Amino acid sequence: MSQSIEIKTELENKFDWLKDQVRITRENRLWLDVPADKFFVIFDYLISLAGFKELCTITGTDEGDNYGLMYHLARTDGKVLNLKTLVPKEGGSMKSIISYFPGGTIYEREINDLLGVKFEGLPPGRRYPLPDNWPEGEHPLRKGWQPDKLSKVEGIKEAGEERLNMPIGIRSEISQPTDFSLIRRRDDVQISIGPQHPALKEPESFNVTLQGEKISGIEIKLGYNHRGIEKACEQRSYIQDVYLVERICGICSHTHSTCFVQAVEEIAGLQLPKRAAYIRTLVGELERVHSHLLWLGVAGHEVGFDTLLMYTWRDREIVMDILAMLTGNRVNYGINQVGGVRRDVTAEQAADILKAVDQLEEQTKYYIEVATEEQTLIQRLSGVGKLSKEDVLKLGTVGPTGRASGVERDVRRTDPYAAYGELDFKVITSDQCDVYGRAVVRLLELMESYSMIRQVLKKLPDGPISVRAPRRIPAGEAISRYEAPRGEDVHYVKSNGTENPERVKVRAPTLANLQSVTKMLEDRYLADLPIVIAAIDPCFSCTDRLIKVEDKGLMTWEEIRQYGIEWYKKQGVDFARMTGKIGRSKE
Amino acid sequence: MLKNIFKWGLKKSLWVYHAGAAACNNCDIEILDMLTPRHDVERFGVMLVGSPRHADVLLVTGVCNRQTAPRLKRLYEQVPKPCLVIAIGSCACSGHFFRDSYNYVSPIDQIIPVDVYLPGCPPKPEAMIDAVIKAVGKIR
Repeated sequence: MSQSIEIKTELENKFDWLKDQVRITRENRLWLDVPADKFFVIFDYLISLAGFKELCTITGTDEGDNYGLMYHLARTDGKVLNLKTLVPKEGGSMKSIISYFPGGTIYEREINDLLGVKFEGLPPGRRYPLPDNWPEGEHPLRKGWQPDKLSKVEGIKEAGEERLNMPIGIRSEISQPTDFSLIRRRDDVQISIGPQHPALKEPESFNVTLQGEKISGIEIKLGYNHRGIEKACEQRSYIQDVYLVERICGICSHTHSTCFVQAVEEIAGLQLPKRAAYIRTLVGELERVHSHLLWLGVAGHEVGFDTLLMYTWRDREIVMDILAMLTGNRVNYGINQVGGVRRDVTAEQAADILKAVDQLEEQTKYYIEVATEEQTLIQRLSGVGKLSKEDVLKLGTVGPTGRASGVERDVRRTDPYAAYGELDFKVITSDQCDVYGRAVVRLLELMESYSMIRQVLKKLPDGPISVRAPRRIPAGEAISRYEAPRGEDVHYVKSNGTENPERVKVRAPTLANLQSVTKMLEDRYLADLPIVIAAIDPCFSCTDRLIKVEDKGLMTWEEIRQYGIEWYKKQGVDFARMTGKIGRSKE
Repeated sequence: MLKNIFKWGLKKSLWVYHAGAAACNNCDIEILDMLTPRHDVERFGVMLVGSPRHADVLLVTGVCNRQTAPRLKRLYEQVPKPCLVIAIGSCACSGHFFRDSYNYVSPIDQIIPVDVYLPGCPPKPEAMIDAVIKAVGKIR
């Protein structure tokens, strides 16, 4: 608390008009409202002198005649300062923060799309996260907005058809740069990877520009997974929202529900029972084990080491069984509720968990041995996807990706939640700065997780597992952070005294990490793309189509077919004759 | 006659293609789980393939949103017919939580024909194996 007060007095000394403006709601949380014209004075000061070098996210809110913009700035010691300003709806705009945080533009684009706030200096680019055929001027997060307005505008089918008839692989919007794009030349070969992936995971799209085998440009297109969860949260009660936010991501479902519930508890002023905090930590660490094992297998798959995939997924079943026993479901555990947890851990379950952890630890030791001694794996992963420490700090990379570049950033340590403040653990870092480092960090984190699970079960205090929570949460706001297996997850919740939240904002770790992918892939080979993307743990593996663009401009499928036939004719291969020979001339 | 040959061919060793349409990864990791050693459906010839053009069965997961709907349709058009489509998870079957969402289009079956519905959030790998078997049963 004392440090937060220090920051407050420092700010007040520096700017006397800020007297009694800074609110401290709890340890590590500061709130400050400033008028728009003085915003950048404070913003500049906080970043350059007060050490708030991390931008968690930007939250946009609809507040009557104004839009509220809240910049969540974090410091390495866990302090979060929420700097808010108001922008009038009529003719108002905000200056872009691109010069401070190059990675922050994606958050501005999101607010621009969902709320319609204009940002000056935001470079033109592809929209995010709404679909391509979304009508202009419709902003779903505005308070009075109704989805039925959409029926008036062009329907999905027609818009979809239009896109279907576009030539595959060559899309007109390719020339538009986005936040993730590198500079591109016209004569390069472009490969479009995604949105559908052969092996697993979310649909995302990558447009890769190649010179020979080297990647000269990459454009990441997001928004295929946009389901409108933030709006859906506003339409449901807090009790329903717990289960809704769990479905943001299936792999870190406990992450999101815990993060949300923590924020709600903070607003309602509920004191979480000790035992509930420990059980949340237990499930959280088991989840980390399952996620890291999953990642290890997928990484193995991406580099053609399928044995590793099969081994790790076999062992992952052990932890999945434990989670099913503990919570009742293999994924989407549904164990959290506002004010505590829903299920207790019995002594028999604890014994089973300990047995399983011993087994897993033995297996993990074997994987560590493989990772440190198997030359093929080391040579495949070393030096791939380099990301320097400076870039990590600049781009706001979080989680194991950042820790593998030597940045000791872990919310469990800097801003402890649940029972992490009472547990003894090491923050694993590596100075490798490459994919190999990321693999090692995750493997060693597994060992830390096992140790934490043992500590939790040993220290598990007696007592109730939940406190009674009111249906109506008093007006207020809170920001909650959680160290997901992939990095820092941030939830902002604002309540207005009713059963439904006023605004829920989610920043998942992958969004922060994706911005580093272009950096990692700069001047690397195409073959490294799957593993580099997988290394930040959204895990992509991909094959798709390639179409060469010569000076002919856009070509339809039929034109390309004709072009191919002509080309082969010149080489002395006549398809018309050949098809006749094998009896398919009817076509 | 030719149709029967196709059907006969489809019955043995189904190759599956996983089409994710704005899923939350939940069903997706359970599909992968079905293919890895615990359940190992490759014993029965069920294999995950990398291209819809090689597939006999399309496993569709997720809430179909405005961005993925046309793409899903295009994927379906690429699968050699006859083929089977299994809608995996409550989202794919009915929209689940996201029915009222502004970005939600319709259940999968209004975009492409669905043969087997498998609700659950997520369905267990055992249930997925059962769904594949039921789908094979439908061929006759």
